[in-house]
Amino acid sequence: MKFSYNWLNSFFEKDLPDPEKLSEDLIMHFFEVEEVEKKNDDYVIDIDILPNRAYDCLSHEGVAREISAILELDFSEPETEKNIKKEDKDNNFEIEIDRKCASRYLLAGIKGVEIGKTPKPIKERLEACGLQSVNAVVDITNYVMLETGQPLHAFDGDKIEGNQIWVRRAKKDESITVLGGKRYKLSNSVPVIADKKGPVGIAGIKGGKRAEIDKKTNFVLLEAANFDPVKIRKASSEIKLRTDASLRFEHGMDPNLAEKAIKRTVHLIEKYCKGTLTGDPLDFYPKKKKKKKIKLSIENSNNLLGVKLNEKDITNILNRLNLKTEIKNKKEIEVTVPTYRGDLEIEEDLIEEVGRIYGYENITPQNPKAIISTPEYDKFLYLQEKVRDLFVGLGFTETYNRSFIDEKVKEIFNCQEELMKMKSPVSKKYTYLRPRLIPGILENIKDNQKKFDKIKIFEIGKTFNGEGEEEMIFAGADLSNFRKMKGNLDLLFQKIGLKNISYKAFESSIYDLQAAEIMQKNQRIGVLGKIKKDILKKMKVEGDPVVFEIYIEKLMGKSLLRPDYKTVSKFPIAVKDISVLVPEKTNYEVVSKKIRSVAGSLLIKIELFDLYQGDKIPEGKKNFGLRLSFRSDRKTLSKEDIKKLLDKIILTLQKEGEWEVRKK
Amino acid sequence: MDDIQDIEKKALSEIKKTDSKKEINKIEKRYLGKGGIVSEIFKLISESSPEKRADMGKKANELKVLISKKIGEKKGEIKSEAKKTKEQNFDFTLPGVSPDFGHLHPITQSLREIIRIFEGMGFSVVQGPDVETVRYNFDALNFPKDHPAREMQDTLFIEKEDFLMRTHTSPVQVRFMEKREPPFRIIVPGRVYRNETTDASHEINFYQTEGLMVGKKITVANFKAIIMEFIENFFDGDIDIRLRPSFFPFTEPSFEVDMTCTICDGKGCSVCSNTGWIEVLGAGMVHPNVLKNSNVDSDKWQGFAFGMGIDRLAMIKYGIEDTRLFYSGNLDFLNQF
Repeated sequence: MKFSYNWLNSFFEKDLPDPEKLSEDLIMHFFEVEEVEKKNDDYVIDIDILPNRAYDCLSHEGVAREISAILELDFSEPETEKNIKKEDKDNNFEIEIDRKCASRYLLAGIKGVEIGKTPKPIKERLEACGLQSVNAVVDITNYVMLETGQPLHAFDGDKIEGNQIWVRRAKKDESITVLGGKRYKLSNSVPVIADKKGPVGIAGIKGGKRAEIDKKTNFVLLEAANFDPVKIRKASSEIKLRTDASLRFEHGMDPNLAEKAIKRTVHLIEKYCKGTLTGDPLDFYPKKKKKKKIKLSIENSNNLLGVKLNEKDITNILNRLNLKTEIKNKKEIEVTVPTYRGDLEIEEDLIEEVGRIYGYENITPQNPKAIISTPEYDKFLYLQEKVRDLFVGLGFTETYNRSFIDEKVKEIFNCQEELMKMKSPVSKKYTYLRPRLIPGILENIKDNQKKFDKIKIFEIGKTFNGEGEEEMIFAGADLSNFRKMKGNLDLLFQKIGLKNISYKAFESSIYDLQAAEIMQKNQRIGVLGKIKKDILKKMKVEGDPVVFEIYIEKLMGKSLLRPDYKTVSKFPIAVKDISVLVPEKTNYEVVSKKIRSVAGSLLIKIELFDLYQGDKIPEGKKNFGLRLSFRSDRKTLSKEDIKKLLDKIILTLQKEGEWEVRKK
Repeated sequence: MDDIQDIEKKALSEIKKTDSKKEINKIEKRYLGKGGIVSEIFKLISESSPEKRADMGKKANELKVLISKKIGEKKGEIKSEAKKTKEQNFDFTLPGVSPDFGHLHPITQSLREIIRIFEGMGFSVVQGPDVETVRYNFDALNFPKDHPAREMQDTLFIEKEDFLMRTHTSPVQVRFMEKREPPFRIIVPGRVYRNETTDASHEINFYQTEGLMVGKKITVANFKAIIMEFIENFFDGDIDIRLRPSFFPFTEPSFEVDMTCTICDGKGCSVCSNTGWIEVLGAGMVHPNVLKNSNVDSDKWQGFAFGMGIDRLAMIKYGIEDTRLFYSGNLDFLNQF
């Protein structure tokens, strides 16, 4: 809220410190000052009043009270109409209030009003705070709102039909034209001020056009009420109308403030617009709000703040805040809270008051006393970090994508399942929670393809199903080929001790035929391969990326989270190369499995060093160049040992008929 | 046969004088090549009288051996000289060949730093769901029902009743405390969401770290010590902090923490709006209602909680100007980390 420095200053006999210094003090002991701006002879101080103090500090008086406590300066309240007790002869109005809509309702009649020019100081202060001048009476009500925090409304009493005012919920199909001319249809949940003809104002939000104050107004009906915060909040969001008044009511206010504010307003109207009060205002106030008493233990206060204040320090601070204190015993203070401090409810609230006025800057940092203990070891986090490090080492760059996809991407990826849908997101880009990471990864490729030849990226992030269930996924892509990417993943599986991995053909609406699902024993732990061309086209990806998705959560319990170490043999390795010519349709795995089954544990490694298909071999065939490494844990293998083994392997392979084996 | 001696003299002097590869090859060709001087001599010898032949032949042969030896030596000299020159002229200013190396996202790097520092002080890392319930995100955290305080953060609601994208990591405080016995020392890093139009300082999703320490006598003074330790460690410097009063429904007292602007060392610049201070986190002492809502006895236990934006910390640390870069997948950006 914007505050006028001159206005704040007017509450004090002594001058306040300059605006910059004052802002510093407010920042350290009250709330943040967003901006200080010079305006004519005044300064506008924009203070970020947070919800707890909206109760009393959306007002100059409230902030002045804070300043008086922080700087220990005497401050005086503005003048009000004191002599209000007199019989009301001219005002024969009656009020009927729905107590669920308002906890207090005051209505005062002022007759013989002459609407003249708004006095200059009032006009200037309103403008400093960003309000436009309307007419003297309306300006005075706004002025008192900015001063006290109590919204008020003035009706032209002569325009009210009949002599009764109701505060009630709007009836079905009722509507109202408000000040400024806009028309609102009202529902049963909107509280209104009404006369016998219908609504003359939307309670706590805005007045109606029908009983508007104009130049000829002579009889002013002045309202100061305490409307129900929840009802005002709901009504305001329902009809989409927020005003300075509704803002204050929504946060809740002190019902006792209404009386103070109406007296002040009457005083100003009598002073500047002539007119006389017809008598005591009508007052609906069934349940009077009383001052609260809260006990504050000195020990608790010191123990929470980490300071050593004595009873005198604490009572001094509380008294400065206009909180009356009574020492119950040496240890406890009974604090009486004025009704305008609605935010003070429990002991901790008082401790905050002590802390902030004392100054957090005066609290000396102190290391906590705690038992030395090692933090808990989050294995899943460890796995993720391991994966990140390995892939960065393999040349992949980590990306973070937003957690959302839009309708278009949902269609491109043919998402059959229900997705989590957002309720009125700021942009359609955030319509659904992402069900997988691939769309983001492809988008990254598209965005970078013009600038980079090599793109190797990965992401570890949450995905969401239609129930809102979350799964962490590890996905990535590059522009190489299937075998290279498979090599990356195989290295990962080795480093994290994930065994029994195999690759299987599978059907997918996203991946094309150059793809496989990755199995660990019988469970699918991921997929790897090329994306269908039409999806790439729709995503505007130009290259032909190899993509993988690993269901990293499923690796927990299966992965050793460390390599599976085997004793290093001290005996030498014997290496033999063979070439195997097989039909095109024969998978490598069939050949390698056959070799392993014959060779047993002495064969420690098979390497595919060459894969050939072409003119030099018969059509429909392919040739594997294989390097076999043999080693025993117990002895040095002799030439005869190797030869025997190799012959056995070759013999077995050749039994397949169509296979041809040659030694190199 | 003075000729042979003259030829020898001439040849040796020519060989001696030269130091170029091209020249020595020419000399070799001239003397020893096909139709060269030496072969001319042999030709002459074959035409001369038999008694002279033996003696001359011997001499000519000696000449051939000598020249070819000298040429060989010279060639060796020239070669090693060239090698030496090549070594001397090694150009160490040629650009390095870029290795194929990846890059860790700056948020991951910041997160690791944060975790490292807090784990060093005995804090465990705990995580929670991004899709939250109204109960954990607001109710249990002492946000009054139908109160404007719920609008302090722009909430992204889900069409599923009572569900939302968590606006902060604070719900995990309750989720964690419900299941455990105090004392607690945890941090909760994770992604949070705000329904805000994105710009240089706003994102629809970003990262936050919650911190929670609960014990018998955990104080504001303790919070100051822990957070100073963190800030000084994370930003690697002697950095000042200050606590300002603030309001959060789930802490009482509540404060915001500013640190000295690292861009201008507190002198005032555009980054800190000329205040010399940068706001880095919100914090406070856990509200007794939150402890109660988490089944923790608020008469026995107390402590502090804080929440800080990791994106913001990373922006300050690296001097990143636009928060959207974190989620852009822009390799010009990512490859720098």
